[in-house]
Amino acid sequence: MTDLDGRIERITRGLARGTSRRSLLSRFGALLVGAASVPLLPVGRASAESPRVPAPVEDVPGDAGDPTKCDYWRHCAIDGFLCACCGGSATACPPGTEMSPVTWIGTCQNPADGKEYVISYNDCCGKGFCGRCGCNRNEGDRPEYHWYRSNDINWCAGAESQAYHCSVALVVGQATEAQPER
Amino acid sequence: MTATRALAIAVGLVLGTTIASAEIPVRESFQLHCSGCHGPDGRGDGGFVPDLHALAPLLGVEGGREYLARVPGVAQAPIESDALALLLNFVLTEMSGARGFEPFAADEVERLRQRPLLDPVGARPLPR
Repeated sequence: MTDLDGRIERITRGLARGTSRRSLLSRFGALLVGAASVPLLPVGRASAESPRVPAPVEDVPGDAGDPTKCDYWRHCAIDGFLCACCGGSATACPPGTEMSPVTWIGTCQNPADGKEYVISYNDCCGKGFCGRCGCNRNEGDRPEYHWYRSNDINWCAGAESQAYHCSVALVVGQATEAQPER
Repeated sequence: MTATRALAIAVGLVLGTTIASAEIPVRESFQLHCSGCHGPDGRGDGGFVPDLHALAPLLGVEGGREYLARVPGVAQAPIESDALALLLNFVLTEMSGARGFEPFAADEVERLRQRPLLDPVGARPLPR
């Protein structure tokens, strides 16, 4: 028994001489930081959408409407093919296309509550013309010299591929008044 | 019309103008006038479109303040100068974290934006 005590004491003292409390702290710290950074490793996450594309606000009152129709309220200034007819929706690009990170932003009036909403018209890029549900409404559209309010621009200029396929109309917020003033 | 009444109307007009053009919340102004290209968070695209979170150093160099108000995207934004001054100050403080600078005033923005930069890239006082 005394022998066991002696051995354990020797081992413990040896350990205490060979290591420092700081080294324990640093190793334990490294373990904590290491464990904490595991979730930061670059793995694909569905929630990690590109912040370049606005997050739609879709809790809009009233009848949702038919996004395959040109007269759908949020298409008030669109000029192109409606993505809802091209394998996507009013807010999502069809598979195989990329949403343009640059776009133009205007407002449309929701007939359900009579309020103006901020609409982001993003083009979906990477495939040729969709060719279905062509829609050319130009409320609030401005000439190309006022390019950030123009729907005649191929906004795929900011995407990986400049091939224009279709357009979405994202509601990104409520607007105080119609823009540009009409 | 008495002088007092005329003054009251003049003050009313000035206040009315200010309220009318600055009543849009600044975050909505940002959405409408900046976010289409600079992105909803103002971070740009890492290449062609500048990052609005990196503007603070411009306030510390000669010509930087003028550049910020005369760069075409700012100078030609389709809003009144008082709302534009609010928007500029919002981007500088909330996004670029600029501190201790004289906020842009409506009349200063009004004066500077009369002369948009002819060569914005060449005129930039600091590289991006």
